[in-house]
Amino acid sequence: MSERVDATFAALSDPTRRRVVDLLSERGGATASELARELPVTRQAVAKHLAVLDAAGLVSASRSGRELRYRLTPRPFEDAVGWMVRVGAEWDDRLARLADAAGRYG
Amino acid sequence: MEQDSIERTISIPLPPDEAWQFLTERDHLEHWLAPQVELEPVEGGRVRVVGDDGVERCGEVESVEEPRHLRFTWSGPDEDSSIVEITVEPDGEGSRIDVSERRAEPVEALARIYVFEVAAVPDGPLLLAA
Repeated sequence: MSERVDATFAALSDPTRRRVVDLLSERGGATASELARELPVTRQAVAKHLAVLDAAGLVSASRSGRELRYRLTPRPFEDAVGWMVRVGAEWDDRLARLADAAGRYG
Repeated sequence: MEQDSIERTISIPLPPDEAWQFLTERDHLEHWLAPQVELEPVEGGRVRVVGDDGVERCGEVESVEEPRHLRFTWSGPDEDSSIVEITVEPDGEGSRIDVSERRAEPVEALARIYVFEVAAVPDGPLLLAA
């Protein structure tokens, strides 16, 4: 636990990285290019920040076309904002399908 | 802001007794809740849902008041259990459906500190509580 906490605090000690985490929690996921458009730093700098967050286990990447798409990892953010983002998005999808199915039925 | 729950509301053009069928009958549930749904709408009834992503969630029905209120728990592998609450209210000729999902266990205090720092004070100093 304490090593994980140290790594987490170290990774979050930088304001740009905290902003990256903030953006990922708002959007559910983003590429370095998408994040760079929202931040006063280059794509290369964003990629370095993402690498630090990745090493601390705070984000994970999956391939999206020619770029990597980053998301907050379930833990430790699963204990907080990440949970709300994920569960909220799931219910948005489900209720859109419910409205659609009920509309066809009614 | 409550960190451990989400709430959503929709309106559908069906009266509550018909809306209730969408919330409790398998054929309807599998059109919207998840591709595979077992939900026995009685207290203590079994809940088993397999999502689009193949993730299986299991739980139990905690309370049923037809056609107004349904509460059940569910959790996937490596997930904490959460409580889903669905209420149906008449809304003109249709129904309003309120859904909430909240975690059965409170989050770690430390996780709250991360969230506070990240969400509320993105450029502020870190609160070193560890």
